This record gives sequence, structure tokens and C-alpha cells, in this order.
Amino acid sequence: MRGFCTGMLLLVLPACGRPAPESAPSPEATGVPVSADLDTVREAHEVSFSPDQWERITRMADVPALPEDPTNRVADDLAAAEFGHRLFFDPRLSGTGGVSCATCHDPALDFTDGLRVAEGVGLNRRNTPTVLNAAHQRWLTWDGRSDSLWAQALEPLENEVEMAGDRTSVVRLVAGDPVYRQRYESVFGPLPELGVIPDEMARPTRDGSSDEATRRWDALPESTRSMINEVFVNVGKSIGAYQRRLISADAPFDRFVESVASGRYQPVAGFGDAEVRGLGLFSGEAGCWECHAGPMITTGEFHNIGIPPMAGGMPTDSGRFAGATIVKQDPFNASGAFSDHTQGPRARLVRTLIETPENWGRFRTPSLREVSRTAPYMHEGRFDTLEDVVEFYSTLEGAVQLDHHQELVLEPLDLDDRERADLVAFLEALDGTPREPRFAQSPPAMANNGS
Amino acid sequence: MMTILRSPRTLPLVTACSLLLAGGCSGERDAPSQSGASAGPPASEPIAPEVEWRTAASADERYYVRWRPLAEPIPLADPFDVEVEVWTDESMTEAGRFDRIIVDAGMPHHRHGMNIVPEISAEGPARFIARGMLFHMPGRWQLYVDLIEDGRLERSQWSMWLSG
Amino acid sequence: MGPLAHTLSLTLPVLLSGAFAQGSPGATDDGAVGAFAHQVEVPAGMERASFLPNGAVRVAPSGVGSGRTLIVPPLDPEQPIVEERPICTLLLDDPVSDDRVPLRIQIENVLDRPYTVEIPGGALEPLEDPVRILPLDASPHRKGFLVLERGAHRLRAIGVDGRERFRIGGKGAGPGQFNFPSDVALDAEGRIFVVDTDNHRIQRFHPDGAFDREWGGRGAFPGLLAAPSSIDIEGDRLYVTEELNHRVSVFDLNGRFLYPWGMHAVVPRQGEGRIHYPRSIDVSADGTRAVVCEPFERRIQYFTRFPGGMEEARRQAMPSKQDVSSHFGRYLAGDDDLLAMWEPESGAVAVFDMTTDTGINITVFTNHGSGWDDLARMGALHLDSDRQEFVVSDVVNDRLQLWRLDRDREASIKYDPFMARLTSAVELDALRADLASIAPDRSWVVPRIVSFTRSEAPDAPLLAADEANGVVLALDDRFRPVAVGVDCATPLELLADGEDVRLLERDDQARLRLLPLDERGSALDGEGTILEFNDATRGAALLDGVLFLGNQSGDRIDVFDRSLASSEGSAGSDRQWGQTGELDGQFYAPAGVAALDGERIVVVDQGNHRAQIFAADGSWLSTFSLSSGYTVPRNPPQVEAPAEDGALPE
Repeated sequence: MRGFCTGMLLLVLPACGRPAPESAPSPEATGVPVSADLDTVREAHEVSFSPDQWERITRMADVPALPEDPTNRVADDLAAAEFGHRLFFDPRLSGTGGVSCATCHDPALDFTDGLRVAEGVGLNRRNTPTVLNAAHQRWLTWDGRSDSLWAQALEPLENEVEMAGDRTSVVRLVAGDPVYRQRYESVFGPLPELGVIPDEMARPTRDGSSDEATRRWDALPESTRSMINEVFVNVGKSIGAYQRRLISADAPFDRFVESVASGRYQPVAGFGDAEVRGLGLFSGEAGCWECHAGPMITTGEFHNIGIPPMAGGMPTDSGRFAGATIVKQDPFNASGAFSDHTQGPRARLVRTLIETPENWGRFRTPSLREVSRTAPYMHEGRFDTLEDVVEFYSTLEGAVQLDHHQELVLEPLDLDDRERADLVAFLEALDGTPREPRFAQSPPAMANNGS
Repeated sequence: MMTILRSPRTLPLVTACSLLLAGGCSGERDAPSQSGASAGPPASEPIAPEVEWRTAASADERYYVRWRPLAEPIPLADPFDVEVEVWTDESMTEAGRFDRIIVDAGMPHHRHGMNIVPEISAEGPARFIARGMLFHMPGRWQLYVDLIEDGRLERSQWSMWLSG
Repeated sequence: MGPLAHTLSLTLPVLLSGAFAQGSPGATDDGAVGAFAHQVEVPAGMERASFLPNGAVRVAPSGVGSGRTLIVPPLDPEQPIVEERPICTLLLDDPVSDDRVPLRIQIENVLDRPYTVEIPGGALEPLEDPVRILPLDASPHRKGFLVLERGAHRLRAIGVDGRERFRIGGKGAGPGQFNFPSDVALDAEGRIFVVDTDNHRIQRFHPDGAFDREWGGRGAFPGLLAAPSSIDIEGDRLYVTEELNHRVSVFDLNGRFLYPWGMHAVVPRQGEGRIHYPRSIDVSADGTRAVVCEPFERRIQYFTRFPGGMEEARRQAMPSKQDVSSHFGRYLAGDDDLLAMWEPESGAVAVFDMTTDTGINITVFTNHGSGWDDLARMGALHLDSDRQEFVVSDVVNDRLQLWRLDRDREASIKYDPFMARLTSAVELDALRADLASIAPDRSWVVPRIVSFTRSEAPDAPLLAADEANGVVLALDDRFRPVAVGVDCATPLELLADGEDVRLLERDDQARLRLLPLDERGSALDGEGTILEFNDATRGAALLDGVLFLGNQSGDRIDVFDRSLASSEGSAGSDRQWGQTGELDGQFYAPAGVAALDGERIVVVDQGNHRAQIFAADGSWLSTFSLSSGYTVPRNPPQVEAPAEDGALPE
């Protein structure tokens, strides 16, 4: 098996292989607890972990507390989360009345849809990512077009192939549904006096294109538009508060690391020889850890791994190239007027984000937690199974490589059958359980006409 | 090009530019227009005294530069800030004179830099804070402090290993 | 009236038989040109191919020049091309107007015969490096012309009265600024589309010159561009050739990407639909046929529509992976035991340890970009082995950089991506300001450094040939000018041979001249040596008083030794080696020459994606590329190299 390579093709031969880690921490400096029972692991599973490799592994299992989201002042407000819970499952938010967030983010399928690409009001061109653990992500969606859960929640509401709704109708729904109105006001205070608002769709478009709905929107008084935006954003912040509750943890992998770290390793159910070997590959020779690092098992950034487009020919989805521009221009981003903290690190991040053509074809490295339950894989759902994914990394067959101009290439891992099976076994041991089960299902039936 | 005002008040003004960028770096030519609106944290920002400085002279020893992260260890894939001081002498008694400072980082092995441009503010004579650095991959990183005076740049650089 | 364009009509060999697919009458909008039909060899130096109404193709050295042109007969006389695209040629001995000389523009392809328009001089600022002229309106023109001036980074609309109506440009990357633009086109609404080559984008302007929109960005993915070089608009389609993506990209007029074709020839002389360094495109008015000129391959290719329409066009777009190999080397610097090479496709400088028989790649540095440690386009590359330093001139970002190598000569040779580090850099505008203060008697523009060297005399300064100001400069270690040396017309190379320094230039009579300089760049005794040598040179090295010139059009190395001793000059090189081919010792468009220790000469054989090392007598020693090399010939030449006394390789 060969190593992971991120050199340009031009430089493949000299640049491949890991850099000499002359600055790598010495074993003494790694902070590995002396109690980590690696000896027993080696005896039990015939797998050795180097000290820095084990340090890497412990970081993967060290799921931190939820990162704060000061851009959403109700991020951790339970009442907001409960309101958002209902909104998430309510198809009335869509333009057709038939599609809710949960249509594609189905709790029965770990908040995905099991489809290659999402089917909302129309056919999306990308696979539905799970929203489990999304609160840990710096950028949301495959192209990172949103920088917070609440801003992301607003985008599908008006996206014509997702929910095809509009902000004015969403606000009308909240104002007109007594339950929603009461819940909204308990969190955000009294709804503003909206006056006369259109019965039909009225919203701006993000790309500046114009249609009847934008003309109606433009015809509204500035004060009305401002009030609609405010309520719309609060809807997003409520959905965001809900999604922060969708955290899964305690996978067999986490229990394994905990057991080893305790100093008295005891075998863990669901994490046997194959899983331990797979972990050894993942965190070592196969180099998966270079992008899939940390507690979410992703660094959360964007790479082009050459996944061939489903339609054949050249790729057409520019991914992060467009996504970086979209998020910087998003009026709902962390540095925008609707953010509750425009001077903090999140706001700085989007403000200082670089837009570059080198982003073309890059997609966000997904978290691998819950990965076995969120098939199919990759941004177009190209691979049905984890075996297919591992096969791709092993051979890179069909990988799109537009010659030596491409910044990042992988080198085929050339895995043998057992190594492939071991990696898959490890990935399957990353499935956890919801921390707050009541949020991982439909909300209790709503009064009135709530769905 | 903006001129550093050597006052202790917070003055976000300077730009950085990533290795990987092919022209999308507005900050390379001028300070980002939005940075002026960023007040930044107060100048009395607490510094972790236990974090060690790393010091180097620029190539022609016109400057003695030292820096340290305001979080240690440097986090993987999480923003962090660094404190930078620029002096003309090794004993660090006289503040360096220059028009512009750039703090940047890159991974030569992967032929890319950071995906962001940190915001830099002058915090006092010789002292600057670069906010929003982000090392998004494990491996060997290099940190660069570039000082530009009259169209001439001098670089100081350091290497470090970021664990996965 | 100035001299008319010298037009030849030649019948050239058709390399591949066949004919255009019949243009389907009433072809749907789904039609997509790009299917290979023919290729035809043309002489070196031809850069622009244009259809004529009868289906013939006019091939010319540049967009506006009045040099030798060729007419390639129609491939299929039964299928004339209804072509009304004007071909505008400047008719001047010196294509620069001033208050004494009017602009004379010959226009072909509009009326039955060429006619000439004379624009009075006087009010007009002189043209600077004009590369394209277009009438602003339909035949016969009334309004005037658009003139694109590459070196001045501007586009001017000039009325027939000689007055400037508007101008766009100025060097830079902002909206409405250009970096070495190379072509311009108008659509039916009079909107202006400029190929902004070194910003890797297309810019669209309103008919009055106001900025409208831009698209592109450097890269190979759909919609990105790498060194776009020419443009044509037919109907609602816009066709752009890209030199460094080796393809044509097709857009709609709003910049929406439709499909590419031709990508990507990296196998030498691949052709037959694969495109290499394209410089111009012309698409027939009905969108059924296209001709692309590839000067590097000394070839034009004809394309017709894909039988399967747009669907086939998109399906074929993906380059075949097995066709991919690395381009290797364009700009070269060598000194003792080190060699450095820059390649525009990758944007990186590759460094080789030359202590062994073949080069071993030990590091790379810099990337394409606009940052201080990036490099947009190489102007010159200098290497000093003793100092382990590299000096880089970037003619797009207008900077000089100094890179230093952290290399332990005693250690084993291995690749280390961290070996080179940028230590300092200077904006060339700062150098201009310094020059203005030390030599205030002349007017200085931002320098454009095209070559460096340094004498081995103690404390000798770095010498830099400045094409923009026409002068040799001496610089200290911080790139401050310490002396202004000899004036020159078109500097090509500064060469050092021990303590001796010489300047190779085209003088004001376009003659190749080798001029001895002192260590501070001033001319020594007399006028130097005139070399009677008119081939396209690319790269030169001086070794023990012998000059080695890369002959790019002749695929050989020309050597001047005896003649350099005489101020009478020479009637050509004294000896030469190499010929066109892929075998060891043969070349395709050599792109750089450097001398190394051991009396070795390295030649970058660009068209074959490799470098070759020779003894000074021309005997082949080894061949290498980025990742491999050999000293035992794998491709021995079938005929002996014509070196006068050179031995064939062992």
C-alpha cells in the first residue's frame, strides 16, 4: 500500500510520501497519558499504535462541548429549539405545502434521505448531508455556502428545488398560526406589526435575478421588508437552535478509546480486530487522517478528490468556488446585519475568507460520524456503499484529473481485500446514539393545524 | 498602501495574503474595506504569559521579529490569534520601521496556504495582533512575517508541526 | 503609402486527408464545432489564421503586422465560407504613429479587394505594441477602429479623424484593467470583449467602453482560463483559445461555459484534434468550421461540427488521463552544480542538483498567484550556486524576488519541499523611483527585467537587462540600483563567463549583437560582435568564450566560437548540433540553454518535455525530466549529430 499524496501531479514522484516530520513532536511531548493501555491492545489485536498516532486517535474521540454560536442569541434557548423542532417538520413552510426540512433530513435515515441527490420540490444536484452533529461544522453544506446553522436553514426555504417557499409566506404562517405565534413571541417577544403583506410569494433572490416574487418584494415598503426579514431570520435561528440538539455520540470507537485511555483496556462491543486494524490504517499509513481529523473526523475544509461526475464528461459543479462567493455575499452570514455578533471570530472568518479559482471542484470533507447510516456517499451520491468509497480511494479509478494544473491529487492506496474490509469495519464503528432522543424524532403532534 | 500609526489604540489596518491565491486577494492591494469597521478586542487583551516567544531575524537582519500564538497548542482547524513584535535590534529596544506588515502561513509540501487572510491590528509600539489564523490541515506549517518599507519586503519565517 | 503586405500564395502539404463534414443545412442551435477535420503544417512564426471568403485560410505572423503571410488553399472549394470578418493590417515600416506619420490600416475581407484607411497623426498618442485592430462598425467603416496595445495594457477607440474616442485599461487586475491583453472582439450589439491574458479572464465592456462584466480566473476546470490568447464571436457563442490549457473554451456571450475542445496535448506533436499552445482561432460565420493556429507546433488545425451535437461536445471534453504528462521547463538558469527551471503550466520553479550525471529534482518553490511569494509570469530567472540564491523577475506582478536555498551540499541528495525560502522582494515601481533619483536626466518607466547575470569578479553587482527602459542596470543585494549601464534596443540575454560579461541583444537594426560589458553593465571596447543570424533564438550560454544559442525554429544549438574573436561578426554559426526529433540529441523547440560545471551544456527540450545535457562539443551525455533520467541512450539517433568534431554518445 502506498501513502496519501497531495502534491501536484507535476510533483508526484518527488513530492509524495509524507514530509519528514523533523518537527513532529517527540513521544515525550505528545502528552500521551502514560496510562494508555496500548500494550494490551497490541496483544489483543496485533495492532501497534505509535505515540503520535495514538494522540491523533484520542483527539478523534474527544468530542467537545458544542461550540458557541453568538451569532444566534437563541442558539441554546430550549424554547427556541422546541419551536424550531416543529418548524423543521412542518411542510407548510414550503411553497407547495408538501416539503419540510425533514423530507430530506429524515430522522429515520439519520437525517438524510437515502437518495443519490435530494428530491425536494424539484431535483437537487447534490446529495443530502445529515444534520446530525452539524453544529460542530464551521461551514455548512457541500460547498460551505452558509456559515451558521441558522443561516443555512433559511436557504432551502427559498431555494426553488428544495422547498420553493418565500420569506413573506413563512412570516404569514408564523403570524397566522396561533401556536407558532405564541411560541415565537415567547422566544423573541411580540411579533412586529406587519401591516398589509402580500398573499403571494414575495422575496428577493440571491443571484439578483428577477421574477414576479422579487417585483412584489421590491414593491414593499422598506419597513415592511425589514420586519419580514427579522421574523424570517428568527425562524432560521429557531431551526438552528433545534439542529444544535441533534448530536450523536458514544460510538463504539469512542468507547474503545475511552477503554484504552483508562489504563485497563477491556475489549469493547462492536470494536474488534477488524475495527482496530482499520483504525490503525485510518490514522496511519492510509493517511485518511490528513483530512479526516479531530472529533468530527473532518477538518471541515474543502478538497477536490476527483470524484467523476455522474453525468460523465467534465465536472460541472464548481463546489467551493461558487460556495465561497455565496457565503461572503450572504446577507445572513455571521458578519451581516442579521447576525447577533458581527465582530467575533465567526464574523471574521467569513469576512477574511479567500475566494480563489483553486476552489473549483472542491467539496467539504464530511464528518464520518454516523457515516454507515448516511449512504449514498460523495456530493452526487456516486457511491452506494462504504466498500465502494474505500475501493475508490484504493484505485482512484475514473478520478477526474484535469492534468497537472490540478492542485490536489490522491495517490491510489492499493489496499488489499482485508485492508478494505478493515477500513469499512472501522467506519461502521463510528455510529453513535443521539444525546437528546426526543429531538431525533418528529415533535409531539401540534395543536391546531400544525403537522 | 496604508501606513502604520504607532499608537497603542487598536488599529486594524493591515492585510495578509495566502500562498494559494491567484488574484482573489483583495487584501493584497488594499486593506479590506470592512476591517475598518472592526473594532477588534480591547488593546489590553490578556496574553498567556507562559507561551514562549519564537524569534528570528529577517533575511538581512533589518528586523528582529518574534511571535507567539495566543493559544497553545495551536489548534487544528480552529481559528487562533498570534501576537507579533517587530524590532530593529536584537535587544528589542527600538520598534521596527516599516509601512506594512503581512502575517501569513503556508504548507509548502501541499503547495497551499491558509484559506483566510488574518486581520492585523497595531496594538502598540512594535506590537501587533493577527486575528483569525486558521491551520486547516495537520502537518508542517510555516509562518511568515513580511515587513514592507518603500516597496521592499523582508521576510522572517518559522516552521512548526501541527498534529492531526 | 507604406509597403503593402507581402502576400504569398502557397500550396502546403496536407498532413491528413479528409474533408469538412457537410455543414448540415439548417443546423440546430445544438450544433457544436470542435471535431477534428484536418491539420496543415505552416512555417515557424505564424501566429494567426483567418478564413477568407472562398474558404482559404490566411496565415500571418501576428494580428496587425505586415510581415509575410501565407494563403492555404480551401480544403473544399465546393464549400466557400461566407466570411465578413475584417482583417486589419498596419501598413507602416514602423507600426507606431506619431505626429509625423499617419496610421495606415489595410482592410481585407470586407469589400472585394483590400482597401486602405489613413488616419491622420498629430493628436494621437503613439501606438505601443499593437496586437489587434478592429473596425468599430460594419463595412465600409465610418466610426474608426479599436486598437489593442498589449505592452501598454490598453484598448483605444480611435476615430477616423485621428481622435481618441475612449480608452480602457492600465496595468492591473481590477475591473477595466489589463495584464498583457492579447485579443479583442465585438458582438452584434457592439459590446467589446477583451482577452485579458495574464489576468486569465475575459472582460466585457459596453460599446462606450464602460466596464460590464468579467469571467474566468486561472485554472483548468470548466469556465476557468489559463493564458487565454485569442477570441472569436459568432452568433451567440464566444470562442477562446487558451495557451496553457491547450484547448478552446466555448461560452455564451454572458460568460456561461458551454464546452471545451482540444484539451490536452502533452505528447509531442500529438495533433489530430488535440491542441498545443494555441494562439489564434477563427470560426466561420455560420459556426460550422473553425481554424486554430498553433505556432509552437508550426501547424494549423481545422475543426468541424461534432456529429452528435452539443451532447457529444460535452462528452468528449474530458481529456484522456493517459495523455497526461508534465510539461517540463521554459525558463532556465544554471550555475555550477545547480539548475532551476520554471514552467508556466505548474507555476513553480523546479530546482535540480546537477552533481550527478542527470539532474535530480531537490525542491520546488513559488506558485502562480499575486502574493509576494507567488509568481505570475517569469521575466527572468537567475541562479547563483555559490550563494545558493535565486533571483526571479515577475513581469506581471512587477516584482523581483530573492529566494535562498537551505541546502547542505554534504548531505545526501533528496527531495525537500521546504528547502527554498523567500527572503526578500521589491516592487519594480520602487526600483523605478530609485532610478529616477540616481539618473534624473532620463525618464524612467517601471522596469521589465528579462535577464540577469553576475560577473565572478569580487563584489560584482547583479546585472539586470531592463527591456522597458532599454538599459542594463547594476543592482545591490537589496535590489537598489548602483549603476546604470549600457543602453540597449531589445535585450535578450545577459551572459557571464567567469569575470567576463556580455549582453546579447537585437540592436536597433534588428541584428543579433554580442556586446562585452564591464562588471557594472557598461559597454567595453566598441560595438561588440554582430552575429549574422536571423533564426528565433531562445536561451543562450557562454562557456570559455564560446556562445551556445538555442535555435527554437531550427531545433538545434548554434555555436559561435571563432567568429566571436572578430569584430567583423559572422555569417552564421560556426557549428551546430541537433535536429528536429524525439531521439536523444534531437530537439523540438529548445527553450533554454545553460552552462554547468564540468563544461556541460544543458538544453531544455520543451517540445519533448525533457532536458538534455551535452559536452561542449555537442556530444550527448544524458536526458532527464522531473522524475527520471538516463545516461545510456534509449533513443539513439539514426544519423550522427552534425557536430563538427563532436563524438556520438558512448
